[in-house]
Amino acid sequence: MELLSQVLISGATLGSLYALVGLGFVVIYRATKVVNFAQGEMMMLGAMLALYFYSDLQLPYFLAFLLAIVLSGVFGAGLERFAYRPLLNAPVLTLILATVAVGQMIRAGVRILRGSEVSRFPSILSADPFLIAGVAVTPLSLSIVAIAVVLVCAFMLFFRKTRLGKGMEATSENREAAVLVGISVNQTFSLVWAISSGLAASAGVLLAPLIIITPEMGTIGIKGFIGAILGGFNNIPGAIAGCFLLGIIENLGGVYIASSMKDVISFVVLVLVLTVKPQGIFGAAEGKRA
Amino acid sequence: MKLPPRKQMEFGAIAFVLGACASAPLFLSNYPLFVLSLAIVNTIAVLGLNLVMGYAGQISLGQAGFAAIGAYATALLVVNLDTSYWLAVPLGALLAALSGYILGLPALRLGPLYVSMVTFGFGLIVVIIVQNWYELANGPNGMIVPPPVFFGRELFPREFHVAIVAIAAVLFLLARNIVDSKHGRAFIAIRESEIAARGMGVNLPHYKTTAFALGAFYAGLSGGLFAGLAQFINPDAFVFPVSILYVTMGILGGITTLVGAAIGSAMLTALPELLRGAAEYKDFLTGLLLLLLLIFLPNGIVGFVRQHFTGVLPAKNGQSASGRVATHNVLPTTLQPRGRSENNPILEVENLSVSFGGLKALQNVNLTIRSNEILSVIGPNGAGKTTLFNLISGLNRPTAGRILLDGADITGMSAHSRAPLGIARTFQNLDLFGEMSVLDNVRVGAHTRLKSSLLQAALRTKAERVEEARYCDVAMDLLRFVGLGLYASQKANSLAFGHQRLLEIARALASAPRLLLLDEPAAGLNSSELDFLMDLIRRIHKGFGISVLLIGHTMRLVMTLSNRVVVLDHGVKLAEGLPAEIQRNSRVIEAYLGTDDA
Amino acid sequence: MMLELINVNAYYGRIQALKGISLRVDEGKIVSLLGANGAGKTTTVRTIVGLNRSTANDIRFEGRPIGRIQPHKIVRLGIAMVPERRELFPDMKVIDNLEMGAYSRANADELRRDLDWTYSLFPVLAERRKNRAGALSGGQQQMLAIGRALMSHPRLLLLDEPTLGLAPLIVKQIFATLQKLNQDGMTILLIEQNANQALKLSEYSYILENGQIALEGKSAVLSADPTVQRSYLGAT
Repeated sequence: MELLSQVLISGATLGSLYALVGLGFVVIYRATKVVNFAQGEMMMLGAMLALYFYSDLQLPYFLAFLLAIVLSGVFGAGLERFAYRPLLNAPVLTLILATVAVGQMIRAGVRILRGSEVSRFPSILSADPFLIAGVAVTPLSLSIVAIAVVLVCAFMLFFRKTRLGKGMEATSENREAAVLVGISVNQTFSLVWAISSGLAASAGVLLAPLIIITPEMGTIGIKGFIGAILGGFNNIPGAIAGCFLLGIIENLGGVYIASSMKDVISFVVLVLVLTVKPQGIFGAAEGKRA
Repeated sequence: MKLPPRKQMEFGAIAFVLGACASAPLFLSNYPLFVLSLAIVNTIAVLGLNLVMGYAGQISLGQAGFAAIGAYATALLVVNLDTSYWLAVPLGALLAALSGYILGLPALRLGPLYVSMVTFGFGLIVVIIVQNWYELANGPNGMIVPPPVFFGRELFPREFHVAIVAIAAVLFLLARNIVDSKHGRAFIAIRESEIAARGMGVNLPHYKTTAFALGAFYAGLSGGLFAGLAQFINPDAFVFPVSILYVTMGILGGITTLVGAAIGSAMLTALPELLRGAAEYKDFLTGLLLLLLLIFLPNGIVGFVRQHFTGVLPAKNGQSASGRVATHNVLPTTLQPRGRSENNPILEVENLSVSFGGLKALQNVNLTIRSNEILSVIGPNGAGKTTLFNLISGLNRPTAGRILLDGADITGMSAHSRAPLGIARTFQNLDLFGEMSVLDNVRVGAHTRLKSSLLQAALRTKAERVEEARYCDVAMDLLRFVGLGLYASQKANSLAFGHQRLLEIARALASAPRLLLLDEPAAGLNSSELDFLMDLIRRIHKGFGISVLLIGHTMRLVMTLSNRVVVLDHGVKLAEGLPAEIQRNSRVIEAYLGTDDA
Repeated sequence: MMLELINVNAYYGRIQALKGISLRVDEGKIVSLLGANGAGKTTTVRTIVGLNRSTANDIRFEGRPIGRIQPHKIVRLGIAMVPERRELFPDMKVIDNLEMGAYSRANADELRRDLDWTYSLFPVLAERRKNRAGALSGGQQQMLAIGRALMSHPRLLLLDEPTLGLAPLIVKQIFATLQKLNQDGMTILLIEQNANQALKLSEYSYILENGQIALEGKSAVLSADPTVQRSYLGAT
């Protein structure tokens, strides 16, 4: 029983990070129909930047966090402007490949700048677990989940309550109608990519103390995508729920099947969901049209 | 057989390249020879990728995964089961093909988004599995493969190189044969327009899984050859950046071509060798190259060359169709007139209803089309006319009611199964296979009449060649019949709009239909083009006794040509009768112009 | 004169949809654009708002050429369009759809006033303001689409087949609302398949055929002209 709760806690921790990354995926997809294969690399970039600001430049943690996210957001907007906007009217396949190319460039670029050395993020919180209702929880995982939840909520507030956020949603639902009411598609896309990159970067920063930081760590990001598909890719709350669920499933599988098979489990889950209900667990079934 | 000059040139170029590659062991030292061998091995994998992604249009981000299956299967068979290398390689390729087929299954119902994820995931999983498989595959430490032996004699490296060249040449030839056959055309049709492909009888599930299987086969073979070439394989050789490298090679050369695979591989295999030791730079540059290609040169080198150096001039907008055509009044021989005297109904639509998400698009529509009749369906915007067409051609299923073709119930049949039964259609907003030639578009129309299998096509058996030639003639005949004979080798996209409409009709006729569905065939035509079209429909109707079901807003066409007219409004049949009756019918007038009360 | 098109050409894909269209809409008037399907009516309004670019783009709004202005800036000039098939934001609430209509405006008070005004025109929208737009009935969706356009406080309202697929009673309601809007000063360019009703409502009409203007004139005069019927049905 204790093992189970442990698994659930670490699953929820991981899941909250997947949710941040997955949210970014979904936002981009809904607005542009593009799968951003570079989303994981944005997460890695966030972690790397945070490492640089906190560890190398010795800035206070909060500042490092903020800078990493903001810079990543700006970088994401820059990517949109120079790499993706020229492909606005190209077939979706081309755009997907472009994100793949960009992801590879970011990964290799970081390796060039920083070498392949492995880094550890200095610990900021004590790793001593304490008990909540009989379950051992570390301050670290608690704060990760807390901050992730705060960020997701902040995003949802922005998305649902502000003019800009609603404009993003409108563009995702009906691009031409959005143009008719005065929303600039280019601006919206810049915003979409900036926010998604920022979200991914924040996941990276939060993840940093938990694992070893390498240029390869971006592959974790794809889990965010899988979690979103699991929950329902066209449905933001569903996607978030799916990501939490994935984190838990993975950890359960990791404990009860084999730790190294975690990734395999995720993909098997993915294929199963796609075969049985492509709209995801919480997604609405689509009507039958030609 | 004397080949045309361009073909002769191509033949010569290919012979030269092959000869150079095969004789390379004579003048290259070990290391450069290895690079050349590697480039050729990569070419095989990229050929497969081009078939799947370039020709069939299915995104595949896991090509390296299939190569891994081929490589590890080969290695395991040779090392652990003492199998002959030359048997292990094709077995490995077949295993890869099977995985490709299985992977193609979920791809059937999913859009490019999900297919990209699934193929990507597949590639990752294969690597993970191999990395964790310590037992036989040695996990991350990799496996050593003994040098390939032929009848007890070690072949390495020179003879092995020649073997690789020979194998690559054969595979290239097979691919070329497939691409030039009905199957290759079916792949391209799927890429260009799934809906039109289905309408022509192309079985989408079959061809999509076949495409994946084919691409995987080539990758698996490439992996097996790589195992013999490098004599050492480990998971690192098949990681995701390798799949991306293949994609980049494909796009660099020109992903919709076969030659492009060789060009892309050659260039990008040499590159990392030049940058040896600086792996980060290699990945970065590959990524950058891919991005730049996508933005500036999406058709690759071969595409660029073809565009700028083979001078096929596109027709200008607004060119009238009637002015340039020489009508060919002789009936195409393979469309024989059918029983003209019968008055049996060809098509019966009984109580047909369909709803889309609560909206009743059609309610209890009844319709009969007799043999040798031209029936028009008219009605205001939103009346349900195209919906009716989609139900008859099988693109949608009704929620109630039946459709009978020659008395047989076809209501539950898929779109591609209806084509061989004698239904063919055109599309309101045109749905041609734009990148294909005009002639090939028509040849796809005859898809269901060609019977050769993929294997027969790959081997270019006599039967297949005869069949292809015959239906090529049929297609040319049809083109001349609609007046497009001069445009046979041009890209369909380059035709003037009016000509494109005619091409769609020729394509539909190629399946020798009994019922021709024309969806707004006159929309966008000017008055002389309209005259030509009307004459053409008359010739089709009189000449072949084909029944025609027509949706139209162009009243001149509808009222002059139709034997009968049916009026739909708000999904319901409002009136039916002779054209003159319909024009005078007050309810019809009201439906179009609105009521008088306000 | 509020809107003027001079010899405008436009392409829809490869079809030349408009071949030298000239028309004008005077301030405070209702003008209708009629014609059979495929005649080019929708292309015309899409060209006006920039969703379809014309090659000869002499389009003037209040004397000023707008043919090269980016489509998302058109609404700021005072032109609002109610698209064919409504094109709402289906997963957003009614109130959000309306607020989106006012995206280009900054003043919160004026916005509040316009929202009340829209609710007074279409009380059902006030009742259902928290409902998902996609869940409304056809007629209600049409009202929402018109309301959304009104929220940008336009001076010129373009409507593309606002009665498509609606029951006759709702059609009556909508036409009555349009009449009221016009009485209050709104200039309207109306595209309709329902020619009779449009001719009754409007002062001046254009009949498009194959991308060209086949007939134009005072609506009252055209109402009685049998050639209108022929344009639709090909009868003599």
